[in-house]
Amino acid sequence: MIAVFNRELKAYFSSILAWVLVAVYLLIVGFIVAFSIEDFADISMAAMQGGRPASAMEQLVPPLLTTMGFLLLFFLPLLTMRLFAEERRSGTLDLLLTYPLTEAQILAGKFMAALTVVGMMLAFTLSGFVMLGRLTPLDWPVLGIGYLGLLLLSAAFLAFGMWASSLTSSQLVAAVVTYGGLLMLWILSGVDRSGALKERFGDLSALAHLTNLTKGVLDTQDLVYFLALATLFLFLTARVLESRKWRG
Amino acid sequence: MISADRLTKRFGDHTVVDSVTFEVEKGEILGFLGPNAAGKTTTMKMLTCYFPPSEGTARIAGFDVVAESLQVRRMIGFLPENVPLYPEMTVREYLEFAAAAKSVPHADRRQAVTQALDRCNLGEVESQLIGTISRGFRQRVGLGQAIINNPPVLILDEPTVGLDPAQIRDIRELIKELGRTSTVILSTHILPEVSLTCNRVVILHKGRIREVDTPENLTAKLQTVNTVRLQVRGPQEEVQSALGQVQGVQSVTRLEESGSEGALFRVQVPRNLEVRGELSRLIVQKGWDLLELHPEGISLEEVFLNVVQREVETNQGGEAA
Repeated sequence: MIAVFNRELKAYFSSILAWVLVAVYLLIVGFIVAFSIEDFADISMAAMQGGRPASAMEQLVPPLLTTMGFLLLFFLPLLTMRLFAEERRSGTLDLLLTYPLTEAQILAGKFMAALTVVGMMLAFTLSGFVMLGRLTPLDWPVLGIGYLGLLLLSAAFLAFGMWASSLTSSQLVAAVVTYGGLLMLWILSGVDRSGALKERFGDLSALAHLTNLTKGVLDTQDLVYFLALATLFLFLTARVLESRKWRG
Repeated sequence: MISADRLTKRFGDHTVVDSVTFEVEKGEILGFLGPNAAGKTTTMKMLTCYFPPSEGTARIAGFDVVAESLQVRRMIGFLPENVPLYPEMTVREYLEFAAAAKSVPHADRRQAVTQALDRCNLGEVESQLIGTISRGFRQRVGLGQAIINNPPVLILDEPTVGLDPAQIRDIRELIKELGRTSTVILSTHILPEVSLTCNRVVILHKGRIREVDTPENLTAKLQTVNTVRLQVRGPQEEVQSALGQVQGVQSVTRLEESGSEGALFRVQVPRNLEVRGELSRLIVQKGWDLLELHPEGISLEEVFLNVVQREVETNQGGEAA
């Protein structure tokens, strides 16, 4: 597993894609953090005039973390699209599957490498909150739970993307399928006026579960939701890899 | 070292490999010979545990390819057709990855990589990206990853396809060298490849084994006539006619005019008949000059075509009946 993990991590950073993805994500997050701080300053002023001080942990951090999660939806498919599709196209997957590695080891290596890249991406964004912490008091444990939420969301999204990548030898198709699936998971929280969507499928919405965590609410339901989603799609990916054994 | 027993692979209704049975002894180089779609690659994919057989079994070093797949994969080095590699890695990085993925102990990895680089003559490109090296070197890198863990069995699918003649010669020598320490199965549709490299040949056609033997025995077995090639200086029509009169001669063909150096003839007689002495005496008695006389063996190419032709005739006979 470590061999595959190391190779994947090298592959990410030897191509310009990973660097560009990290840089652009950080740029956008930095931009949003800067404007949110400015926005929060206005809110604070207004709140002070009203006699009740504004709380960054209530009014600033949760929407900021949610936006960061929403942005991941656009970046993660670009990280996962090549994981299996490219190996399938070039034939390296065929060779890899004849090495003394189990499908689970190959899967775990690739998944952990992608998660490490996302982890690094998220870790860099912490610098924005460190700056914010100098302006207003922050509850770091609560922020930590929010970041845990982002990491869990990433794990689920990456697992979905890996599954999509395992289905095809086209990176483009893998990316489109992943975008479609992840957007679907996101909008289940309700984009319709009547709210029927939320009523019926709201429990399956990634946004709803992330929102709780961004507020520092550590609910087992949310943890189970993300972990179950990640496990389900990792399992499905393993089945796709194994399908060569029983197809025919 | 390798045994396959009624190995069969079906994709839907299509049988790609049909009840293939063979054994390979330790230290042997076995060639799978056959046209495209003969079932060579599919057989190799079953032996390398990529997918299981639909029927039948195969064992490598005593381990079953289905039930003990991981143990089998530790015993083999596989070079797939077209040598799939990671172009963004350097040759050394790639071999280090292969060593780690094949569970070469951490302490031995550096030495394993150095050995593979040496044996495959990759020293001059070890720091280059795989995407930038020539086809010949890519093939060598493919062989390097296959031998990185010193496996007792090597399975090489079309190891010389797409190479130029000099590269083919180099890879052939390398395979012979590797054959000294490992049991090798290689597939090819290039016939000289087999006769120059392999101890034994399996001829596959449409998923079934048609012949298994040494290249020499196959040639002898499938040789239906003895052919003698002569170069004679004399009146060509008369020479041809006189050669045709020798007892047992089935046919005399004039190959080409050679001016003052005489004419070339190909004389065919039944398989077990020896006529070289009689032919030479006849030419001397007639006062002509015998410039050259030697027996011609049939090439493996002809053997292969004979096998395939024989099958076509058998099928046509069956259909007519």
